[in-house]
Amino acid sequence: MDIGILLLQATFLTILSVLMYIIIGMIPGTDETATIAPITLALLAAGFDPLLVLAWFMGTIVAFKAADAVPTALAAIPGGVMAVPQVPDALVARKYGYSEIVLRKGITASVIGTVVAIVIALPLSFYLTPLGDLLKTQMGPLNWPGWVYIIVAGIIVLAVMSKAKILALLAIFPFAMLVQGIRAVYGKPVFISIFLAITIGPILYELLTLISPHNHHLKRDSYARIKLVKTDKITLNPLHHLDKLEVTLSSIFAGISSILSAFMSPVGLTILFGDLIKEAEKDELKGSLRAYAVRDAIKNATYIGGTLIPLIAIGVPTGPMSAGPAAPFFAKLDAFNGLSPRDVLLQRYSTPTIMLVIAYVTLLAALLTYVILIKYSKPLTRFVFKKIPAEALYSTFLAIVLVLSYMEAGIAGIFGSILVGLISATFARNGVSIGVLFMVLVAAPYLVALL
Amino acid sequence: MAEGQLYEIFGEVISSRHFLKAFIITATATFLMYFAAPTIVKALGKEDFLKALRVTLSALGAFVGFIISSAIIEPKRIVEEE
Repeated sequence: MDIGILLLQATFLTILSVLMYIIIGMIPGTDETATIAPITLALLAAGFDPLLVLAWFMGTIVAFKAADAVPTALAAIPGGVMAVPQVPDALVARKYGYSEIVLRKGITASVIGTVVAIVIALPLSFYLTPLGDLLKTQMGPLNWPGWVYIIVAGIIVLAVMSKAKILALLAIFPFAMLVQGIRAVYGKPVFISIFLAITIGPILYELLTLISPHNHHLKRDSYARIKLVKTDKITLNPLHHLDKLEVTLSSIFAGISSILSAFMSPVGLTILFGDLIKEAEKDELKGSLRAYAVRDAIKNATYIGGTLIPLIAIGVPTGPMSAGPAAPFFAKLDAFNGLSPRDVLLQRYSTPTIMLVIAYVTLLAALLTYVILIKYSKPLTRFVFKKIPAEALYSTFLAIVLVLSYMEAGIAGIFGSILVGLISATFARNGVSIGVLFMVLVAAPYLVALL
Repeated sequence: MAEGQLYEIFGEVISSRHFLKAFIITATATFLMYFAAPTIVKALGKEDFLKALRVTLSALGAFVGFIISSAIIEPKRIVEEE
C-alpha cells in the first residue's frame, strides 16, 4: 500500500480513537481491557489491516491513559483502574487548592511518558527480534517453547504480587482446566470468547448480583454526588506545567517502566515507582504533585512498551498488557486465514514502515490528547458526567462480548462466556490479579498437559 | 419508584430498570445487525466479505444501541461546581 494513503488512513483512525477514548477514559469505573479489547478485536476479526488497527489501538491507549486521570484531579473519582493510585495524591492537591495544577502536571507528564516510551520501546522491540525466534524453540526440562516458561514465570510473579497471594497461586490449575474443558465442549481451541469473558467478568458479576435477593449492600437511595473543582483557562505551553525535576523523573521512570512492562504489571509499576517518589520527598504537597505526575508518565509508558515489545519482538503475549488489552493482536483469526494479526503485520510491512507509522500515530495521538485535555478538560468532564449514563456503556460492551461469543461457539459460546466471566470475577473480587487469569488462558494447554 | 431501584456498581449509581432497558436496546440492535448481515452483504454484492462485515455490522449495531440508550437514559450523577 502507498505510504501516503496508509498515513492518511492512520491519521483518520487515530483522530477517531482519540476522540472516542478521551470520553470513555473519563467515565468512572471503566476497565481498560473491557473497553479496549472488544472493539480492537471487532476491527481485527472484520479483517481490517493490522497496521491500521494498531494505529487505532495506539491512539486509544494514549488518549485513554491521559484522560482517565482527569476526573481524578477534578473530582477525586478515578476514570479507571490505573488512575486509582492517583486518588490520594489528588486529594492532597485539593486540600492545598492545587487541583488545577495537578491536572496540568498529569496531562503534560503523560505526553512525556508517551514520547519516552516510543523513543525507547519501539527501536528496542526491533533489536530484540532474534530473542523472539529463540523463544519459539522448544527447550528445558518440560520441552516447552521458551515463551511458555516466561509466561508461567509471569503468572507466578503476578500471583505473588496479588492481594490474595495463596488464592492466586491456587487459581492457576483450576482456571487452566476450566479453559481447556470449555474448549473441549466447543470442540475447537477458541480464544476470543474466553478472553472477552475474563475482561467482562467483574461487570457481569455485579450486574448478576442485581437479580439476586442478596443485593442489599449495593442499594442506594440517591444519585452519586460529584464535586467539580474550579479551573481557569490553561496555557498550552508544557514548560509552564512541570518543573525540571518532574520532567527528569517522569522521563527516567517512563523509560524504565516501558521496558519492564513487557513482562510486568502496569498497575504494579505505577504504584511501586509512584510511592518511591512520594516517600523520597518530605513535603506532603510537593511529594504528591510529583508522584501524581510521574504516575501519569508511567501509565502511558507501560501501555506502549507492554504492547510493542511483545508484539514486535517476542510474538507471544508475555505480560499483562499484551495478554490483556492488546491480546486480540495475538489471536489466530479466520479473517487472516488462521494467522494472528501480529504475524500478518510483520509479513506485510517492512520494519521502517511499521516504525514510521507507529511513531507517527502515537505522537499525533499525544499531541491531540494534550491540546484537547489542556483546553477542554473541564467542559469535557462536565459533559461526560452529565450526559453519559453508565447503563449504556456497560450494555454496549456486554452486547459486543455476547455477539462475538455467539459467533465463535453459538449458544454454547454465550453460556461458556457467562461461566468463565463469573469464575474470573470470583477470583478477581477476592484479590487475584486479573492479569494472572489472562496469562493462564494463554498457557492453559501446557499447564493442563502437566496434570 | 419511577426509575426502579438504584444500585452502586464500580462507583457508579445505576438503575436496574434503566440498565435492563439499555441492555435490551443494545443487544437487540447488535444481534439484529448480526443476523441481518447476510442479507445486507448480498444486497451490497459483497458476499465474500460476509464474515468480516458481520462483525463490523454487529459493532455498528452496538454503537447505535449506545447512542439511543444514552439519549433516553439520564445519568445518575449530580454534578456540583465550585
